Amino acid sequence: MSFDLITHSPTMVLGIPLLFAFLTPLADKVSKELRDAVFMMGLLLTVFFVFVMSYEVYTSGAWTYVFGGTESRPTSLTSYFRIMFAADGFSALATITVAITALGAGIYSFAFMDGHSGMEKYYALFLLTFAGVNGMILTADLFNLFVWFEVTSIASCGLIAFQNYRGKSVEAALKYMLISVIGGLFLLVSIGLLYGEYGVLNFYYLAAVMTGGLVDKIALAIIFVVFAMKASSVPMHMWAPDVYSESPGSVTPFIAITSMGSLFVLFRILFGMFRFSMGAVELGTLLIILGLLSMFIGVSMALKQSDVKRLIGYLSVSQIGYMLLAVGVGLTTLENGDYGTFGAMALEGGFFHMINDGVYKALLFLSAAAVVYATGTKDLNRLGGLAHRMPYTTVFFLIGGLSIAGVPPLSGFSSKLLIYKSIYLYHPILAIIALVVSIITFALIGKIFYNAFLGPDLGLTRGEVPTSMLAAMMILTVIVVVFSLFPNYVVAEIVVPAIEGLGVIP
Amino acid sequence: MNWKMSRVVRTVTDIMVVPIIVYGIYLIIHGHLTPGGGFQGGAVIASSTALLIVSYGSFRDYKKDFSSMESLGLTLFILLAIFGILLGATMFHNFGAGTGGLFGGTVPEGINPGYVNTGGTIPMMNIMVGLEVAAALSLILWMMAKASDSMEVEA
Repeated sequence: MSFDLITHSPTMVLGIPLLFAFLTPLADKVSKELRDAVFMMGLLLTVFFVFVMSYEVYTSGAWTYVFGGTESRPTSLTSYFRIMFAADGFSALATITVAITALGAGIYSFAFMDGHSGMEKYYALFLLTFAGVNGMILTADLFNLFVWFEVTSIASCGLIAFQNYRGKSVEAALKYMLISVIGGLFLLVSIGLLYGEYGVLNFYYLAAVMTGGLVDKIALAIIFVVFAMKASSVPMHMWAPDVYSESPGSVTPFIAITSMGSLFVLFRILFGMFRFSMGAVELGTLLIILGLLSMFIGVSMALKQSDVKRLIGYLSVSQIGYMLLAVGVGLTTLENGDYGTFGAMALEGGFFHMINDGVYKALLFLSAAAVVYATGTKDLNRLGGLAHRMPYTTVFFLIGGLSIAGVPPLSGFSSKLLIYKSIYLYHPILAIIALVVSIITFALIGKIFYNAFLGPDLGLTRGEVPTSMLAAMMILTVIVVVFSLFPNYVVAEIVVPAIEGLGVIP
Repeated sequence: MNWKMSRVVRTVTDIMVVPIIVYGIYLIIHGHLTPGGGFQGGAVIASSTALLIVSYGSFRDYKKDFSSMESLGLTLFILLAIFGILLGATMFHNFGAGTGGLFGGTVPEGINPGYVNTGGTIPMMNIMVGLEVAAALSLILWMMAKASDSMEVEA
């Protein structure tokens, strides 16, 4: 009869943000300070439980959590008919990525959204999105996955449209909602197909019984497209730049992380469920094609943008391509025997790039939002000389930008190097394309930096952004720097358990 | 704000609101036995709000009450789920079933007409969901009535 912190941490990662999301509107009835305190407490407690769970995974191995029973671990076959959460290395990697971004975006919100009315709804939606993404990542149950998918979609849609006095945010939110709802309903159809065929919803159980017939292939196609769409992979990327550009600045990294969460789910489904019956080579090749398209089209669309947030949005699409490419290469090697030579390296590169990208992209979006906050314009042609008045933001943007471009000392370089080395062995032309994309990314970061921060002081702003925004960017910068200084440690302690968590046994 | 429906409509509304709410509560309480449950019952209760708004015009500011009720329902729902952990089991553990307390009756085996005082946390959660849905849908209806009111003034 006691509360075991460690055993229950996978559910507290959901329970705490949900509880505090519903408490914030109540606290708002009392006072604004209490509301802010409740939000901050919910955020910090959730992040704390994410780290408790991850620490337990890294020290004593993965486990599954069964909802509703008297025992939290699966005791018999009937446990597989309950809702299950997988607390493994992969969930740990993904939830850490989400938690870091949520912490940054949450602290950033205080000053950035100051003066808006209805902030209790903003905080509630923020925590709901946090819970939704965590649920999507942790769940090992298809129907539960659909529920969290919908929670994430609806809550993040509310966040995007939060500044509803700006017509364009509402338009972006409508686009996002339309795509999410259609995707969600198709996801439900494919879950129905699988459930009708096998009568179970558990990933592990389905992986064991799946035969790979026509119905399974239809279900795979739908699930694949839905999650690739939410991950803003190229043929389905059209919502992403609009949403990234028009959502409130503090929310943008969080929307980016929900799409990253969908990518995590896609990988978990492909690695954990479909690869046994559908063929790892075919699935991997599909990922490689999508990755190449995302990388190249994303970055070439970014070339012509003059809206700073939209430009970073396209860069984000192209970074998603790197992960798809690297993980696709890793997936193909699981069957054709190259896993030992370069497959493991590709997976390490891909997953390391995911956590890196989550952090530095959040930093980039937040520093771009700081520019917009200070000057009131997103147009690169009208910005200039901000380094004179905003030295800290300049440094933060530079670190994030150099990291996304893969400049040597920074974290983006370590993961990109792993990707280049491994995909070169798969096919040299892929590595060349990846390098070219990286060079164009560097040029684009140079364009933003030159246009917005360098040059004579145009008097666009009175000074630096408020302290809480700087603190949020500072936290993310410190994490980027830590990842840059100790890439080996991160790969060994966080990324390798994640690959093991996916069930890949070398 | 100042319009009202005719006396006939208002009188029928006054009479009908009570059975509608009672029916909604019936659906919620019997959620674990018959078709229905928290969402459906809550929607039925909210329809009484719709009836009141239509017949009396959008009335005074209930926004704060509705939104408090909504958050309260959800908070209690998630607390019920977390309570399972505090009692030494797992999240969403049905700690109330078969204990003899509120909704804690044991279900006899075989064919039976269905006993309301069973189900443990399921009916409790249904009540919380009913509270949430009734408040949320009423709030939406109230907001819509208010918005269409202000549009009529402009036109």
